[in-house]
Amino acid sequence: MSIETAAAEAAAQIASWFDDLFGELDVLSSRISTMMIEEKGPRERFVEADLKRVKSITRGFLAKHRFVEAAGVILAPGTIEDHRGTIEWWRNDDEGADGKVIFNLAPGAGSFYDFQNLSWFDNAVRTGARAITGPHVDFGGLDQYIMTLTAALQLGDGTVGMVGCDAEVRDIEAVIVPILRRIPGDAALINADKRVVLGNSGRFLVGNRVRSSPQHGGFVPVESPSLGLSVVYAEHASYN
Amino acid sequence: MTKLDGIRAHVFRPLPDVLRADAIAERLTTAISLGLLRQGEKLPVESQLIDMFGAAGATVRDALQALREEGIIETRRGRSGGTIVIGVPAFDTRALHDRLKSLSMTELRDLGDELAAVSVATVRLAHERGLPSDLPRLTMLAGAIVTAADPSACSRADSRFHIELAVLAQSERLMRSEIRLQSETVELLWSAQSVTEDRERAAAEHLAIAEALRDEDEEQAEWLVLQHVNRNVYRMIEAKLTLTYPIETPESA
Repeated sequence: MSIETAAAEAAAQIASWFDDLFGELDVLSSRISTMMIEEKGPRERFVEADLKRVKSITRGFLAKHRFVEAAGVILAPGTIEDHRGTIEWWRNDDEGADGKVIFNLAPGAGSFYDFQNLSWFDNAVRTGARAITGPHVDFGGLDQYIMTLTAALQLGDGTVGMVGCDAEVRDIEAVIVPILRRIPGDAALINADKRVVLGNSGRFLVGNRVRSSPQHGGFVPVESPSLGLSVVYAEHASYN
Repeated sequence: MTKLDGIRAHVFRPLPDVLRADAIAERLTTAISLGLLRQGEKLPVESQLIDMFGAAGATVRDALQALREEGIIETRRGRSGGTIVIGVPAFDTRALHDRLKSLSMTELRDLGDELAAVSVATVRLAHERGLPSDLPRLTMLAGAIVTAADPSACSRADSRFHIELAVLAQSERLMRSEIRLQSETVELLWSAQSVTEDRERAAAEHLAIAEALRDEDEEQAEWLVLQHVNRNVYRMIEAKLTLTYPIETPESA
């Protein structure tokens, strides 16, 4: 099998893995939006208490996906409080939904998590589409090296929200690397910024950028809508 | 049991030297001022703290009591009880000056050496791995210090910029190193500097580093970071000397 064909096959497998996971996020999203709209009832806007069942709904998702580090809901400023956003995010443990992740939403503090100024929030809110952010060091959030997967949360007219989950890059490794190892050459999964998510050799290192098409190789897209992922591949080259 | 991952677990690493309540209180205080431990966050239970710090129960209790008296933490009873972070520590210039006095010239130089090593490696990786779209945010954090009103705000803005470089470097380890180094140095530095004069200089130096990254000038970025670190260490050493070995002037003699 040619490297290119193998890379295309790997890309298809990776696409279907992400499609499944985002499918689950969509289910989580619709369950949470139904619950929140029900809690809100005839009230004009949402209040903090409308989120009280997020934990139990998220628990099911977390228990099913053991590699997921945390999951929850993000609401834009103006949804509950005028000037600050709301994040309800739960860590995964043996039973699912262990502790609430404390984000620092007070602008004066050192690790202020100004998520509305982070590009991923902006993108997701603008397009309302599925998105993958990272790999990134999530300082002020989980403080870990993670990828964040987000999908829209429909809350009615003009109300902006997202559901999402974080996974550590090292935990995604166990799924993605075996797929990439079947490619007979150097290959890596890269994100929309052409940053390596995971590679099958020491050539493409996690977090590095692939600035140009490699010699004797190329890119194949991972056909999962709006994620912007692709697989870069090349004939094996040893380190020199 | 409160789960502590990554850098927050680092806050509770065993103390290498004399086991003193002061040292524990100081470590927790710094972690809270840098925002590593956040308001509303629950500290591990006492038995865990005793384990993690490798200290005696009475020592840990003394440390917690000191923080309680300062209004930084609060202990609540009941099912959802525990010790919770409720406030931000005040910037204690006197305590910081005492610490500067107690550090030897060798220790300060060595701290500077580690800062330089980590900062230069970090900025090199930030150059390699950062995206053009990351730079407006870096520039914003670089300049944020000009509006910092007091030494405490200066410390936060200063360390935040350096931590962001490690975030751009995509390295959790370098971020941890940077956070540890910032927590050891940034307040000492600002206890030795004047807010009105030095925040402008700090902002200019930060902005120059951000600009070098924007221009994709790796060598310039590394050089600027090194100069920045060296200047800060110089300031701390000068302050230490003035505090520990004041020169007797004719007036004071």
